[in-house]
Amino acid sequence: MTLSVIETIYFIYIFLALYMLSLFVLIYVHNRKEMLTYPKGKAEPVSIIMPCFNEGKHIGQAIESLLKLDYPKGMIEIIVVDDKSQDNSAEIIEQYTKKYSNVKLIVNKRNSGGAAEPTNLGIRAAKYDYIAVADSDSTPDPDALIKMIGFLQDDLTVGGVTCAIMAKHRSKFIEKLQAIEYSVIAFTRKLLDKIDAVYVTPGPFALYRKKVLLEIGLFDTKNMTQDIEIVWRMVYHGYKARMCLATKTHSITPTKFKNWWKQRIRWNIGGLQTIVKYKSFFLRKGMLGAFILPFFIVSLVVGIVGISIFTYLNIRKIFVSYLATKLSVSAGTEILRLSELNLNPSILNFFGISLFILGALFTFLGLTVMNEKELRNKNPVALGFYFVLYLALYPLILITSIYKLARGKYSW
Amino acid sequence: MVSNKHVFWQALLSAILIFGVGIFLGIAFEEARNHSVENSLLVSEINVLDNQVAGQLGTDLSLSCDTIKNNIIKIADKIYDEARVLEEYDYASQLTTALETMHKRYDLLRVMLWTQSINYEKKCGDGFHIVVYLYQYKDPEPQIRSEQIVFSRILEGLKDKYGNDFVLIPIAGDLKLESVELIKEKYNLKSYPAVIIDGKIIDSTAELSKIEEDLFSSKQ
Repeated sequence: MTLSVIETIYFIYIFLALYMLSLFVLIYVHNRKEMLTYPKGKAEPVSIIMPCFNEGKHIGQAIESLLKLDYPKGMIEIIVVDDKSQDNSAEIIEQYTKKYSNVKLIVNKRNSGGAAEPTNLGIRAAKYDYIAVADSDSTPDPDALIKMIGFLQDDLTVGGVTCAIMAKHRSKFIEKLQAIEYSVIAFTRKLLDKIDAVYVTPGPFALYRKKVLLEIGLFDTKNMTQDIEIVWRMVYHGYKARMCLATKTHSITPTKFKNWWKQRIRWNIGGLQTIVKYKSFFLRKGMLGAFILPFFIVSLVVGIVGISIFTYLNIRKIFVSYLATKLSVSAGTEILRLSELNLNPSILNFFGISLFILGALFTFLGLTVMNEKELRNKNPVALGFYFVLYLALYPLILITSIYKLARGKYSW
Repeated sequence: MVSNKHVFWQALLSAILIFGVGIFLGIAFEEARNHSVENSLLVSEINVLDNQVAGQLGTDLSLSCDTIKNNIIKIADKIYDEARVLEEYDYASQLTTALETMHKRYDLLRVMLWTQSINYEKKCGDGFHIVVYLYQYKDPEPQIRSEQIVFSRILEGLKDKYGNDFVLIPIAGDLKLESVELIKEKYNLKSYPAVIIDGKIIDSTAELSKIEEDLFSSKQ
């Protein structure tokens, strides 16, 4: 029996995964001494914009973390934009505005249903040349701003800088899984930074050049992931985004599967919207077309093909088993014989297992670089679950997102 | 900052290298597995040919039916056991076509064994039941695949129970062997799976499930 179409697709899938893995490992090997370095910057005035919607529980802590930034106090302006919250967010923010002269509150006239509109409102009201955007449920490390600003000062073509976004809480199992995932994402993003392919400046904390934001037209209010879209637009206009791994921002992650699922659907829909918007730049327009867009599209195709093959093979297997069992019962014979247990591995099994092991080693490398010793050494169950089941959910999220996007049924 | 412009082609080379090594090891692994099948096949080929010659000699030397019967059953059992191993390898995907070629050679041996069994029957009368199981080798549809699973279960069960009274000869029907095509034509076989028991055709699980009663009721 030679290779079937499905097996050939499987080999292509394996090869692409091997290529991406090789790429990341090589980038790491070449740059391992520079992972945590950053250009030394000098403090310059920064306006921090924090969009907020129903974050009464976290907004106080988030503002406090900004006030504690290791940065000259006179050089920070904090603008909290309330997107017509229904809880006590606005009242809490007002208390801070009374106490601190550099904290300001803007209340949106309507609930926009996303972060882009309130962020744009804040940017327009900002008085400084550097704009930081922060989530109202995230807390940056005190050294975040001073370590990130050097990237903008060092290179005028840099339009935005992001940092390592980490999971704030790790007590619940689902939080541990996300902590592993966030660490690996941060590590991978730094690797992408080394080839000028940072494709997102995540909402929890990012720093931008105001001139660039105004030039390219601020955040896209129609996109579900305005933090991805803004970077692609920056790259389209000839700017770069950079990643600073030397500092972290700690973000609250969903604690329920339903909320986690909803969040991932939103991220995927936003990613798809962005791909569709920039599809004509495929293999054109520098790194956007040459790498970022193909990287996304390949990830998309690989994900869909992977889940399709997996689903097809398993449904077929279940269907055959069902029919065979039904026939066996009616024929009065055994429903399983010992000789049917085939323990001969195929070459496909070997490739799959090898790739799984390489992926796991890459994750361990990411956790090591991110100094996540506890996650790496003391959570074997979470790690096992992450490798086997958590990552397997990604293609399902993707399929659901495509379906929702196609039907136009999605919201923040 | 380190220049990373070369990492893209380096990664491509690395992926090709790892993938190539994987394919090479896979082929080497399959070759080793095929080699062990080929060794068994050679021994079986010798046995079948030996038995054929012995059968011809038997006429001249007046060998007893029991001797011929025992030889046939011994070889049939060996080939049957090897067929099970071959089947397991079949389901482990193949990078080369060597196994399919060996499968054809095994099928030819089984056809030869069948003709020897028929000749024995003609000479010695009723000694054992000859069961030829024809199945689809290449990509059977789920319905056919499930029927083949059930056919195998029933026939394996009978083989385990009535070893010496039962010669089971599984043959792939779709490997385009002239001798198999002739058998299909003679018995007018158009679909899989099908079983030829003592010249009678059975092509449904319901019918097959009753053959124990039909063939062995007197022995129970």
